[in-house]
Amino acid sequence: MRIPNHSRQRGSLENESMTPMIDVVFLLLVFFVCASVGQKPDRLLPADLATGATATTVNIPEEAPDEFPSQEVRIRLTRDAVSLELRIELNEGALTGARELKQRLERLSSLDPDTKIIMDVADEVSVQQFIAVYDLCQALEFNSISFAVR
Amino acid sequence: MRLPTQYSQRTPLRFNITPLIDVVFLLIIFFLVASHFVRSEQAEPVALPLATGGEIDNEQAPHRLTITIGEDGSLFIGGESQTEAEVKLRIEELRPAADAAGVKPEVRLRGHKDGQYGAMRKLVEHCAAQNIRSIRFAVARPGEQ
Repeated sequence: MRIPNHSRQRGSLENESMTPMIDVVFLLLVFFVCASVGQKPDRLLPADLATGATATTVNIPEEAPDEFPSQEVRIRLTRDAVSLELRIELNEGALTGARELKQRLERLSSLDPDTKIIMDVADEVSVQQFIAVYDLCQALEFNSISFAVR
Repeated sequence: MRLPTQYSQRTPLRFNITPLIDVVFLLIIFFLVASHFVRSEQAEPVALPLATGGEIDNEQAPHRLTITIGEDGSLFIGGESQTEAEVKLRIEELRPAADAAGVKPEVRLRGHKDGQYGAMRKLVEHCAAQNIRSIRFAVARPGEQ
């Protein structure tokens, strides 16, 4: 018959006391890892404002004679007071909707990506509508996107 | 003469790692929870506008101001409601603090998608007036919200 000695008893007792503790700690760890993964950080659209954007005096650089100046395109977003629908104007010309704006900007981007986009957004336009147009301009990789100030 | 004790007769001295593991796991949990709260502190729950672009930036910049704009134009900084004057004051304080630290100040705007652009425009213009050039608009990918 095998008689357990004193040291073997002590060793088994140590193992038994540690196992549930590690179990509980691991469960807590998994819980907090899952809880922290659930919260996603925001995605960010960058808008680096150019130096001198708010200056009142603008120095126009002299252009080389063989260079064509980059044209400016003004996108005006307003909201109809009655129907609350978004109205889009491109260089004072009214567009039928966001699809036409996309087509026009795509064509413009393929012809000259240095075209200066000026976004003139009315205060009552929703943030979603503003972001949608700004996102479109960024996706088409226009080099200069500006915001009109009042 | 060395007298054998009862303890040395039983087993050799062993290092007990149980409290060590206990403390290490508690520290891990503490830092996980702390980082969770630091991240959620900036995030007043708001339905962000949808956009296909936008990048995730997990960098913890010390001189960055995150302003949340609610649907009704209410302003929040760090989860606390602020008046427009208080927010503008915080923007004004950002520039000298960033200059003193030698870093570029940054303002992040988290606007509710159904809110009006006017509230956002005022803040962008005030940032430009304070010579803060780096503005970021928080957006969400379609299907993420």
